[in-house]
Amino acid sequence: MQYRLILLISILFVSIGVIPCAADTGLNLRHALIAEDVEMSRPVRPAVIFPVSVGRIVCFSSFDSIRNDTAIYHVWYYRDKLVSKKKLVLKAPQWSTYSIVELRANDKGPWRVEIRDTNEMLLKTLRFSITE
Amino acid sequence: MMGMNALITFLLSLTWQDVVDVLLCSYIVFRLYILFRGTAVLRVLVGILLLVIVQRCTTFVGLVLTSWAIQGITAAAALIIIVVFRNEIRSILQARNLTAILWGSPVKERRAPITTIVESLRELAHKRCGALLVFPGNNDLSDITHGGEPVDCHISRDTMISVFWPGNPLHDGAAVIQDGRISRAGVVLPVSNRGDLPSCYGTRHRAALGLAERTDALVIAVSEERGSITAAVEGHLVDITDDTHLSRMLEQHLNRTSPSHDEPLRERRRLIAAACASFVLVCITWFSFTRGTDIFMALDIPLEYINRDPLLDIVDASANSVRLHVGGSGSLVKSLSPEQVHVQIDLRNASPGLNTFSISTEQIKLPPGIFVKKIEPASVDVILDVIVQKRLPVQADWVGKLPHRLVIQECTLEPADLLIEGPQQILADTTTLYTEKIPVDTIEQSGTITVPVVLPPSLRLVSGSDRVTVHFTVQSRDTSQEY
Repeated sequence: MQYRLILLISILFVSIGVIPCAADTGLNLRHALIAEDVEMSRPVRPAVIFPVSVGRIVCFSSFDSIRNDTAIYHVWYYRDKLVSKKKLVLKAPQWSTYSIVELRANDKGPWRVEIRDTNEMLLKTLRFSITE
Repeated sequence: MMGMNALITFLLSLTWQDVVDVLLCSYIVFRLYILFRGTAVLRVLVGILLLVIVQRCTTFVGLVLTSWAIQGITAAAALIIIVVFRNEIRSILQARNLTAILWGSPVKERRAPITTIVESLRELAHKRCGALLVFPGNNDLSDITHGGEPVDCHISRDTMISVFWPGNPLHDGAAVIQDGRISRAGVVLPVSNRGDLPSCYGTRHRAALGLAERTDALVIAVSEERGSITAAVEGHLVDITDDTHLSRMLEQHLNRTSPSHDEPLRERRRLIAAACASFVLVCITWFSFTRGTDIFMALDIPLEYINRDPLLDIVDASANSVRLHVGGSGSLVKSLSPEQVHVQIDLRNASPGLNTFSISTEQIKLPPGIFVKKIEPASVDVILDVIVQKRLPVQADWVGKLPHRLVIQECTLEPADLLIEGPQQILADTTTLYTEKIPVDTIEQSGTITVPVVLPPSLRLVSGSDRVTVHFTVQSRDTSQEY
């Protein structure tokens, strides 16, 4: 009876580890931030307020524990209006990627970037402002 | 025949409100007459009424300046009447109960109790207590007599003796008997200048004669020294020999001046005449208001939504107001203001989504005498939605120009989100709440500020404050080169 119980529990644990969850892509977002630029695969001058004069901004995201090659989305919003949705590839086992938005004079105001996986699950929301 | 047709048409056009309106106002005018008759207030009211009539006439004729001046005087007079006659108005409102004001019988007991008076005078004479009683005739005594205090007291032996008791401050003057009551006491009478009066008559007799010479009043004097009773009437002094003589004299005088046996009939006729006059006056006024030349006017009236389900909210409406083309008598339309008109849309049967309501005269509330000619627009589309709650994140809305050497590297808000209530459709499209604009020009170092959150129209906070605290971290641009 005791052996049967141990066997059942073992099967249960093995099942959980082997069968992938359909909804969860298992991505682990290590870092995500908005910066002025990316140099040598590293974000430069991360901030939450950027003058429009910087010309462009970058959403940088870094993942680890990637089991299989997959993709994520950087969805850019100006106020509540969708500006851009960028698909970015991720490669196992860890990967950093970024998307860029060019700024124009009338882009001043509050922005946000939603980082979503291929199932459209929200991983993180980054909020920032473009000022004069 | 034409006239008869016009009369029938007019009678058929009357509503029950018109009839009640005229009857009610007639009764009010009639009651005002009853309450204020015999007082100066009524005379002044009649004067104001005449002024209004004259003003209308001068306007009709085209006397601009006169009309303008009379209008000003009338307006001022209405105010002055309240100020000047405040005591009379107050005494009527205070002294009578509501029933007396609305319904009270105007017929007064005017007959003086002769027997009581005779007995009282006899007792005063017996006690050698000087007294002076005035029984006014038809002449007004107000310009001839002076001073005195209103006492308005019931006549009895005790009250009569108290009034003339030497300890009473009013005992020196005369007491006026009017409408079966002692109306005033301590009244000063004019003194006769006659030189042929016997020396036995003192000042009290001279005063009695003085008033009898000037008016048709009967004055009875009781001598303090001799204990005799003397009557002054029609400029003569008559010594009263016995009570029968006094009673007869009083009876004659009061019969002449007081209501006769057919007085109730006359009084009733007078009241009927007053009621008819009130009715006619109100009818004329009513006609001038409601049956004058019709004029039209356009009014923009805001729509009022009533009986809304608390779980539904109005998201949008095709119109916020309607233009009503209304008509009616010139006087009524000119005095009409938009606040008196209401257009109500009943949302009792409304459902979420688009609802179209036609606007008809049933939804329009107008003062009496005004009618609607045209409604623009004739219908209104209202979008209703279910009220839901949603927790929304709050984001700082930075503006201005941050000094170039600085970088705001981090910003957190407390609370980070707020629970909001509003129409489902609007909340579905709203993903973020923003603060009021926060200027960055003056920021030099890390800090904290509290700012209000801007709520979009038709959304409201479920509970708590609409302010959030913003914590921000400032770094030098040089030290924040790389992450």
